Amino acid sequence: MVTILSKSDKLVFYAFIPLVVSVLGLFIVMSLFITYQSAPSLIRFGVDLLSSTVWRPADDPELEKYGLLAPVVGSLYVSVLATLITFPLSVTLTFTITEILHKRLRDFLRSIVEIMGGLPTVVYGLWGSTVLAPYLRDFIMQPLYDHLGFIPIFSCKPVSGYSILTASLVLAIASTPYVTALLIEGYNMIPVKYKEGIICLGATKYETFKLLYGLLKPYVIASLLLSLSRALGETTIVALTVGNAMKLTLCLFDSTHTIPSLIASQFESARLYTYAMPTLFAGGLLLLLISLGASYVGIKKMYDWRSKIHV
Amino acid sequence: MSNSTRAINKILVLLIIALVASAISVLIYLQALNLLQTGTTATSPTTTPSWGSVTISGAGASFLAPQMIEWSRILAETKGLRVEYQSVGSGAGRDMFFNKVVHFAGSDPPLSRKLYEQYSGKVLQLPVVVGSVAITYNIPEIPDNKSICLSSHVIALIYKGDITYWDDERILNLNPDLREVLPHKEIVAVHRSDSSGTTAVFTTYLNKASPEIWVSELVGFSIDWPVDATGRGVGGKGNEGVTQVVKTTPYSIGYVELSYAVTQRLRVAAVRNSEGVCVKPTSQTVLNAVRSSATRLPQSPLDDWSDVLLQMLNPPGEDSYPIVSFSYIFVYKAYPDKVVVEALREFIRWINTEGQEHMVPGYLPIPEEVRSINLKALDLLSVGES
Repeated sequence: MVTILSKSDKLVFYAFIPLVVSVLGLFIVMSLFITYQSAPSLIRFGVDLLSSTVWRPADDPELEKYGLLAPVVGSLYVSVLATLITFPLSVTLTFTITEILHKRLRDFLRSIVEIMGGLPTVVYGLWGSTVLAPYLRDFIMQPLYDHLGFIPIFSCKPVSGYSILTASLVLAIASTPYVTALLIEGYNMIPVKYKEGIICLGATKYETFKLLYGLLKPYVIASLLLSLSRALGETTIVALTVGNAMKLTLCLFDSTHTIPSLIASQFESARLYTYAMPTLFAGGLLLLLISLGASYVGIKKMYDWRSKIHV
Repeated sequence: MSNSTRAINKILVLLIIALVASAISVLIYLQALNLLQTGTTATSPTTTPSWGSVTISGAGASFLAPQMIEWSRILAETKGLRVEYQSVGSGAGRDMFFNKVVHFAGSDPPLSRKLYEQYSGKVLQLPVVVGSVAITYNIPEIPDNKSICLSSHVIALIYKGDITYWDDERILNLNPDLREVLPHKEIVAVHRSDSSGTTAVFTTYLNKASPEIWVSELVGFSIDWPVDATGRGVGGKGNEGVTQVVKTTPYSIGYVELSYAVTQRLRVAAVRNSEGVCVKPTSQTVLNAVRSSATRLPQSPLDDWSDVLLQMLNPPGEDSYPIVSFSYIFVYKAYPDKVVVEALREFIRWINTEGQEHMVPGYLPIPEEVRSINLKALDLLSVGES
């Protein structure tokens, strides 16, 4: 833990401490602030906040009632589904880019992926809500509902196209470049001698990838967890495509809320009521805890893997 | 490393942390003080000789924003008076106003009775713009030269989920000439999914005109829509969201601000008013409605305006469109800074006189009666502790 520092190194280290401490301090202050702001709602509604689904603001604070079950379930549902869709997309992309393509094409595809990753999310959101939503409704959701309506997740009538399915799909497309970039980086970190050894044994490209991918597995899981925690917090895409209805549902074609979309939708007039704003902050607090958990596991896995692969 | 140096290091680190923490808090404190004192002054004093460096700042309802921006542009060009308006929503705007971050707030609803009692005598409420809610629909069978007529009763039943089909007898009775045209299709009811003053006006109207169907629990900025439970209700975010859903969903119905319906050229339904006449929302019918209710308005900006929305909706008059409302600005009765008071006086005087001739398309000016009530604010404003 303690490395021996020279005198000048020590000086630099002490000079940097304030910056390091203020970043850490900011994080702590922010968490405390969110907790403090959500306290009135946590005290007033307690467990109801997590076990019920209502959004009933009223001028009289006695009549106000809020429950965040739907947005919590919605957040988890949408981001897990999005991550599940991202997974095959980014693994195939990684294979194609690292093993199949020639150098020039590979660079081209890589830069396309990088550009896609750099696009503002609102672009994805707008495309999803104006193009993808009506298309999905007419050509995917309606047929699925007509023929497979007996399956619970297909059992609700698709009305507008703004649904869990649309939001997950757009979110998946938007996070694929991020996961792909992580995977390519991880793939390139595998020491060349492994690859050389495999090729010497006469493996095809696919077999090489399969073997190396086996090595990469913990890293893939870590990347997906990081992408999950990003998806949990994504606001613009979801608010534009998920339909923003305060409804607890597991049907893919239904609208629902996620915590960020709830905050985006209700923020404007939340201050008019006594408990609406604290409840939104409570939602933020929940989101913070969930994504902290996911990121922690993801980062830990990634570090474990990195230390293993280099030994 | 020896134990003693480690201990010294530990003390050093702790000391530095303590120092940094206190330095940061002092900085933040100074910054806050600084903001409070200089936040009200503009950066460039060159533009306005008459108002010095003063900028009056406001925040609030997004509905008011386009009109406020237009007004402040003209004010800056002609009078050199700088007005800034942040479109953050009625609730957040009020919050900033009551915390004295901004000089005035824009709000769709007036102060509730409880808040009015709390701030009575300190806050002036001025209605500055007339708003109106239009009902838009997507029924391809209806030709462009005809429009559907709906009553509060029918609209309430649609949004409750009780009227399911467009060829329901209760809709046909209102539209005898569309009897052959209206299809046997399910109605999709579109509403705002975010909280909004438009929803508040719309639901208050339904409650006032058909209280037996639309109970008072269903009134507010964002409500639990009964039609959603039937699977035929859809939420759209903002006026744009509602429009988007209505445009892409055949046999749907929605409600948007009239200014939005006008600029986007949406198909707009006529609504049956209190005299039983089907009226489409136009600047004339909306102004008629405000005029017919103007006789019962409070006579001073210091009065309680909390019931005004309820009074204005569904007013008498054959040519009155029934879903109308005001949007307000709130100002304090007294400000410590003399220049700010003068600037606010000029701002209020101007928007209630010449400003009313510079309306953005779709926004409607307030009638003469209301302007004269607002102008009383000029004498009420004073220098002092707010």
